[in-house]
Order: sequence, then structure tokens, then C-alpha cells
Amino acid sequence: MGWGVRHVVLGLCAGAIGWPWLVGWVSMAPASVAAEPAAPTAARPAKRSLTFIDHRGRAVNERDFLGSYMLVFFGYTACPDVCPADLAIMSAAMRHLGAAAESVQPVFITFDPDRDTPEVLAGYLRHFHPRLIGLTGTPDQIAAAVHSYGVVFEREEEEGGAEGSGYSLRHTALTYLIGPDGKGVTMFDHGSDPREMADEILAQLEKAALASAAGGTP
Amino acid sequence: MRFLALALATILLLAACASADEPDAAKVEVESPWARASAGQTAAGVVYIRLSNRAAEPDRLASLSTPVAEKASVHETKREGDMVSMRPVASLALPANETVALEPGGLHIMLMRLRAPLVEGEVFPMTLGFEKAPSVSIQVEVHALGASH
Repeated sequence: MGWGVRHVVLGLCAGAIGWPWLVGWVSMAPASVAAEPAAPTAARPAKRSLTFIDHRGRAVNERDFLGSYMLVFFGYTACPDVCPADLAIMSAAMRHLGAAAESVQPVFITFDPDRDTPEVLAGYLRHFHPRLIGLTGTPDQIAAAVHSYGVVFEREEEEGGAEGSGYSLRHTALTYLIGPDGKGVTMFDHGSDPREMADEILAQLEKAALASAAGGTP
Repeated sequence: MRFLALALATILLLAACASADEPDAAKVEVESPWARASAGQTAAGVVYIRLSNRAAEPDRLASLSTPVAEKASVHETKREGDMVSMRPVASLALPANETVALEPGGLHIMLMRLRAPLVEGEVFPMTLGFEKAPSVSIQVEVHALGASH
């Protein structure tokens, strides 16, 4: 059983668990430069907007989401155990939000852009909250998002052969709440309670509303 | 007196039946098997199940087979802080007189290279082989992709 013969590291963030808001992942750059041939490992990306292709095949820029809260989960459609569970939790939390759900955009970003084409994502997302948006892209686009959020995805495959079909993997399983300014607000663990997640989001929305009513910025 | 003899005979017969059931015989009961519906071109499926070893001896899950996938094997998801990891479990231990639950977020059976999508509401067969207990054939119900049980 030759484990670890092939070690595919799609996203191995330098700073273990980087908080997106600490690295300032929302770009100040006026325009995004897509399809830049960045070397994945040497990427020091700078202040460039994250760009994606959504599950309908449209080009998406992270700045398109400014003004709305986002619930972001990274995963991949071939993930059998963890990802469906967390997306179901996210979907349930959206339902618990009631009317406030309108100010929250749920987003699923794939770790596996090679297999998760827009069509594959569209088929997958049908099983979850109707407003869930799926984001894929080129490997570079996904690598930039992975780096920006500080998420990790490692997969070890057992080499081919008669039994070759096992694999082990490791990935971040957090759900991020991003504010209307594009900065991280909080994050939720894998397997969180959907009602608690909704309550926390409502508390954040209320806090922001109070802050803006008081004239300050949230 | 006749009644008493009959009663005694009945008791003896019952006792014989009970021992014929061999309380020491290896036996694993399989309960509530379900699978998640597969989506899109997903090549992997997952089955959750409860395995109760009813024997006084420990046993092991030795083989898994189903016509719906090329291979089925046990994997375990573990949390490590903000990360989750999933690793194969070579041979699932079934301690004596204990139930091992394969549930979301923990132990599960991975179906690798599905031959056809798993559709909600359908059932498919699966056979579990054990080191000691006789093998068990079950029907696995397919639940929604986002189901939690």
C-alpha cells in the first residue's frame, strides 16, 4: 500500500491559518488582472482582486460581493463526508436567518477546479440552498483565493495498481462570515449548529446596523 | 403430573433452542444503513451504518462489496483544529458486545468510482464480510445529499 507516493498540494498557505482580514484580501487595485501566469508557490499576491468563474460560467470578481455579507465555505464536490454536511449546515443557517438571509450571500469555493467545472458545481449546488453560488476558476485563480483565505488542502493518493483507489486528505473546514466591506467578521467551525450560526450572523448584522445608525462605520 | 412433565419438557426444549442460537457464535448486526445521494460527476459516495458485534469475541470488518462502486472501504474523518483530515481505516475493529457507529463527520464507508450516480430514494445492495461473523447482505437507502441522517 504505497501511501503518499503522490502528494498533491493544491493550496498550502505559507502562514498556516491566515485570517483574510489580516492580510487585507480585498484589493484596492482598480482593475483585476486575470489569467496572470503566477507561479503558485512563489505567489506573493499582492493586492489584486480575487476572480472566479461562477457555476453559471460567468466571470466573477470578489468586489461584486461588496455591500453584502458573505458566508464562504471551501470544499470540493468529490468530498463525500465533510463538505455536504457543512453546506447543509450553511443552508439550514440561511433558512434560520429568515428575512435577514437577503443580506447574506452564501458561497462555495472549490479546492478542485480541475474537476469542479461550472457544470459540475451547478449540479452539486442544486442540493443545497437555492441562493448558494459556486465559484471555480483557473488553478491560479483558486490558488489566489486559497492563499488569501489561508485555507489548506492536501491530498495524498495511493498509487494505482489493483487496489489503487484509496486516498487520504486534509483540508480546512471553516465557514467564513465576510462583511459588506469585504473584511472577515467571524468564522464557524466544521459541524457548527445551524441555529447558533444564524444567531451569530443576526448579532453581527444588528451590531453593524447600530454602528451605522450611530454614524460610525461598522 | 402430566402438566408438570409437559412444562418441564417445554422448558428443556426452550433451553435447547436458546443454546442452538449459540450465544458465543460470532454475529454482527447491521442497522440503519444510508448513503448520500451523489451529485454531478462525483466519483465517490459515502455510506453510514451502525455495526453491533453481538459476540463475546472482538471481530473485524474484513470486506465490503457493492455493485454500485468499484471499491468500498472504511475511512475516518478527524478534526484537527480548523482542519479536517480523512484517512483510510485498513481494518475496522468491532469490539465485543459493542456498537460502532459510522456517522457523518467520523467513520464512514467510501464508495470509490461509482458506476452510476446514487439517486435519492433508491436503494442498492451491499455485502459486509467479517473476520469471524458470517457476512451480512443489506440494502442501503439513498438519502438527500445534504441529509445529516
